[in-house]
Amino acid sequence: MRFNTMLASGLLSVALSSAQHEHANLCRKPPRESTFNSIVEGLLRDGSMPPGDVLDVGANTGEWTCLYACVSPSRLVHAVDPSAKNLRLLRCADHIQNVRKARLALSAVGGYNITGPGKGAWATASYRLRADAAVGPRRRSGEHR
Amino acid sequence: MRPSAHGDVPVSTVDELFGDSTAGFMHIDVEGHELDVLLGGGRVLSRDRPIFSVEAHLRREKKSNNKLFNHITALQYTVFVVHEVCGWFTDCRNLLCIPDERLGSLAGSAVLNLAVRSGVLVKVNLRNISEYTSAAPLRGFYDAGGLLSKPGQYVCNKNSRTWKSDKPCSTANTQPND
Repeated sequence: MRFNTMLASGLLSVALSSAQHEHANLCRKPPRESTFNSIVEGLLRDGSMPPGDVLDVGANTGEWTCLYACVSPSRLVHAVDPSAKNLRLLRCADHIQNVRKARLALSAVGGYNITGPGKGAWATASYRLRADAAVGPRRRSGEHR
Repeated sequence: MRPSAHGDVPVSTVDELFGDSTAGFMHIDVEGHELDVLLGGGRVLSRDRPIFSVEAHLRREKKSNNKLFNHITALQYTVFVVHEVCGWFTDCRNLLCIPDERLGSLAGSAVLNLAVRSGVLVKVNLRNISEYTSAAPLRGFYDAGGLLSKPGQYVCNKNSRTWKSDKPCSTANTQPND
């Protein structure tokens, strides 16, 4: 009986540690823009960030989204990206409760559709140019993050 | 609007997305369309006064940056440049925008104090903003120059508009000359 309890608690702790490991992996700090993300993470952690939801526009595959969601579990974090592929790769949303994904393009006015991007990350930038043409004068676009 | 079967993507606005929900922080990285996103969020920005950040190429897109900067300051926000390259081009910077009226209460934030006092977060105006693409030492795009890197090492790209490699080099070589 006692052995069984020990075994069960042993199994439980193994399960927990693997879940914790998974969580730590999902919450891994992105290896880029460390300075910027340290500042944002600091503001979220020390209570300086104004109350309310977090929005990540141009979320890409969600490295930033997942960090924000992990360090502020009481806030909803919205990841917005026009690329279905990017959003599919945003895996932490399957494990972290406070992430919301939206396949959208955000602009000055809404209420219409534009043709979505093709395959691959680079297609997103050209897609955004088309979105811009639909809204107003075409601006020079930078590279995909 | 919902995406159609042909892969069409609906266009919406920040105001529509939030509805009655409160916005606390927004990170906007949309490859040059930052102003459009902000224009679609006028109600949220004036109602909730969130902190937000936008990506900008300080040299390559001076004209559109001026428009963006003027719009942000007209909303009564203070702009800080994060002194770190944020993309493939070495003049890419994140601009952290804080509502003017929140600055007083943020003075006690340890992370903001450290960032401002150490020079990685610099309050800017329209006139001096483009100077901050060349100030040294440059914090690289990749995660070097951190706690675990070797003494004196940053990632840099030695005299190029774009990154040539993600190999670290010494602090003496961290200024791009684009």
